[in-house]
Amino acid sequence: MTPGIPGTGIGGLFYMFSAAALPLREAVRRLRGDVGASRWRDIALQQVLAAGILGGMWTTGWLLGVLFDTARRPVLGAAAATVSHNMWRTTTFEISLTTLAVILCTVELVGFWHRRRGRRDATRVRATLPTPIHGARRRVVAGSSTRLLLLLLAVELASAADPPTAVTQTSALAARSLARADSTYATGDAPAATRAYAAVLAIDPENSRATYRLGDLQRHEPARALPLFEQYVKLEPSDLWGYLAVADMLSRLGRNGAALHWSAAALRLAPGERDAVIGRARVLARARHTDQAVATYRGWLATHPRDAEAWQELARELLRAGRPGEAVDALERAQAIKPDPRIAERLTNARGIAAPAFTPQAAGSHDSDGNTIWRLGGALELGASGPARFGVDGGYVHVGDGASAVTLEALALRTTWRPLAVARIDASGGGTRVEPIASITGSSATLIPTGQVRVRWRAPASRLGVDLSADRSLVDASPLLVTNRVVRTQYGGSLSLPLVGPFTLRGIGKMATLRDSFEVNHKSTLTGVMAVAVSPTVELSAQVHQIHYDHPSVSGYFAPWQVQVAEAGMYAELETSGALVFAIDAGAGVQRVALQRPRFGSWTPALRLYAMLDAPLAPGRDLRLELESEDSQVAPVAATSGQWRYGSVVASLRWALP
Amino acid sequence: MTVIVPAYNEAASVGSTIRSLQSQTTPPRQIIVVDDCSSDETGNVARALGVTVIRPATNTGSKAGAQTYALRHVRTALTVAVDADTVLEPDALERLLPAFERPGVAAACGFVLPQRVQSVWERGRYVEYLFAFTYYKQVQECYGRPLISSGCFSMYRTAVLRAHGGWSNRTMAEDMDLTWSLYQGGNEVRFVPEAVCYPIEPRTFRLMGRQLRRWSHGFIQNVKLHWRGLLSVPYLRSAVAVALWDATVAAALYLVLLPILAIVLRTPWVLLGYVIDAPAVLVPVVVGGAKRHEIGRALASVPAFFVLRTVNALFFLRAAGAEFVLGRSLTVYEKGH
Repeated sequence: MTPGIPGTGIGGLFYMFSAAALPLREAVRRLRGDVGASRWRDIALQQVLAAGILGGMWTTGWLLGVLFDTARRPVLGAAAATVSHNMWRTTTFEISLTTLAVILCTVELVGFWHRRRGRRDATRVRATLPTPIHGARRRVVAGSSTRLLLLLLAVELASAADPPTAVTQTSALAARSLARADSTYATGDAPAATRAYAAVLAIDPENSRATYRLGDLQRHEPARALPLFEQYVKLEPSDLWGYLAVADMLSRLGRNGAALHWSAAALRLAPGERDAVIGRARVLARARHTDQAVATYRGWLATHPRDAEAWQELARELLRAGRPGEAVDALERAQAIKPDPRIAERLTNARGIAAPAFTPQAAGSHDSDGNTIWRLGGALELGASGPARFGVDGGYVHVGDGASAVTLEALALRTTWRPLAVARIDASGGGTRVEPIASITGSSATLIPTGQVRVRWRAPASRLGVDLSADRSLVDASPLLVTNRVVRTQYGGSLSLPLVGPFTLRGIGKMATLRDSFEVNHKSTLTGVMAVAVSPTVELSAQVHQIHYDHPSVSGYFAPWQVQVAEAGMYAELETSGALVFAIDAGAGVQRVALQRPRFGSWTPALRLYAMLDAPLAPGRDLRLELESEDSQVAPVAATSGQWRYGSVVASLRWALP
Repeated sequence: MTVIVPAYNEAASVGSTIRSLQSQTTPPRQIIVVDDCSSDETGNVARALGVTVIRPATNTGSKAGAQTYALRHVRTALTVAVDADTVLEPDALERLLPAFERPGVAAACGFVLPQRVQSVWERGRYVEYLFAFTYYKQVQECYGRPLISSGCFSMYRTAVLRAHGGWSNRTMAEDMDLTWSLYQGGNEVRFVPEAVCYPIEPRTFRLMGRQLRRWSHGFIQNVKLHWRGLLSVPYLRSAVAVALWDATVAAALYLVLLPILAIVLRTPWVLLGYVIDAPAVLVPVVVGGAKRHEIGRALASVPAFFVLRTVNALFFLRAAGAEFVLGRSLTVYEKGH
């Protein structure tokens, strides 16, 4: 059985990419020591088939172009412009690729949500919060039958002392129900225990124990548990656990401000109590107040240095704050206090992040104007200590267009500084050496200084953020641009403003000066984005871009008077249980160009796609693959013509050095 | 190993099946033919060839029922299920055995090709199998996730099969149901292309329609039944999602959009879209045909593939509409030949 339409539809594309990825997968499995890896001959055959099918699809795209040319001419008349076959081929491919990406992302997102829900359901019966009575830790309660007998005895004694009344009878009934509920709870049957405690509350709505237990059993549904815990706090205002439970539920519901208020109340109630302090640290962590969470953990550990769990949680926050070296220290402390294989695993991973690393990189790109760029390079990163990290990048670039070619060598020192968890500063400085121009006698190599500074700040647990950047670089999209030594100096800034609910308004502005030996040109870019966060890792947006150049250019880059782009965008990030990270940023819309002011051409499709896959092969060894495809003038790479299309692939392997 | 052959009115073909099993390079310890209350001479033909024949008291209603009925008689570590219209290459069983050297493997299947390649439908099925088993299934195997352990010929680890309760008749595609259940149980399934079998494929549109109806409803039923569990099986979940897309949305575009475009653009050339991927389809078909020294037959059968593909899309779309939208599930098992 072959469902649907076997051939080269989305299914064919899926299997083609699957086949293309086989050598990489096989290499990863070999590195991991999976002895059951497939035979290389079978994989090679699938590569040949995939390559052959790709060639067949290219032919199909060409035929599609011919088909629609034939279809359009009789309909639109001879005046219709000749359609580029490339356009149909790449458009068809891009639409298919986007469709496949959407399908695969949807599956992964649904799977992630479903597995997360399953884990929550599986852990709810094993809830281990302490019993709330008297603020003490959970005691090992006596056997259920013994408790029942004691309870019955107490009830009998009480009833012998006072004449039976309706209130007393109700209390006795509630007590018996409570005892039954407690014994059901002890068996681990969560649904039955839930019903039992609900029955207690039906008899005695102000039974604090039943109120807390019922809330505890429904922690996986914070919206239902929260009112119960709030009721418990009213019934037992001096009990720390109620405040902690309310803070926990508010935090899970994303009401971070209220959660912080309740956790502060818990801390005031019991400032020296571990669960109050660590509970507050956890709420701060969940609210992404990472710096405050780190400070809270450090404060506790200063007086309680033997708390292995706190060291572990501190390590997690330090990693989040971009301080892997300090995270390694914290995990080493935790492991020394309480050796645990899970801590050992986390320590190995943290060491891999903090260790000095070498990252070789290979990249290739091609555009519709025939420009092909090959980049081979690497980055060397020193070990992390504190909030700063230093490194050096180098690379060799070959730019060709089929008729000519140039080579570049680049070297830069760079640093990353995380003074706070919410702020990050990246800076680099170096130079790019361009080979002499072969056609010009006496031409010599040129060294062009380059540099970049970027400052990012984002409010904790908020979509409010600022991003400022400045950079100077050589435009190397084509041999002509390199020969003309076109240098771009750009300043940019973006501001993200959270609006009501999941909506965010984002404004981006960039000003660039393009200077070469012939001319100086200025480019300005304005972008407005209305985004909606569908989930913490998925964002949909409507975007409008406007690009403006002072004047056309003869230096080799496309510089129309104005470009307008309107598109729908999607950004999604996914992390699997195997720590595989997949990110996709895609946009589809329309664009129009005015070569001269202010006559715009017709609207044409604008598509862009960026996909990144980060695969941890082993602790300290991460493979990253990036795929970019642009059919839009808002691409970060300089366009060399009006009908420009671009694709690139980058592969890098971060290798932590021992 | 023990071979189970479910049969309902298969007197014309069960003899060939049994003889191909008896002439295997690694012969099975026992061959059990389940005569599912046939009204012809199926049971007598099988008995005459010296195999064990068992007959349930009443018709089990499906192949799954017949096979599960026979499972209680199996005493060997491995169980093979072979359709009563399927003949095997002499070394087919021998080729499947090494797959079970890995302890995690619960099922293994082989390459399937039609026994006869004469009518349009048989030719279309021939090219479809060449394409799917040379390309799709091999890629699935490289990822450790063959989508289906084919019901016409598969080998199972008996203990695992029993633990799953044998084959279930809750869907029209019991082979897919069992395969996906095995994955969710943490088992492995292997595809061994060197183990070849030849079932009889439908030769008329009426028979092909019955089979496609059963397969298409079976696929949708299995997606509805297993989708939650499949979310935790990497690669398989993506392959099924893509197959579902192809069976529904893509099939709708294929069947509806192309004719509409032809009308709107007032040109019949748009209908070439039904065959425009021929260059790409030919690649695995030619490679598969070349391996079997049947390039001529493969090329001659390619046009029939596009006819069958269009009919395939129609049936899958109808099944999706019936199962998902109308809630009308197919529950009657009809043979395809």
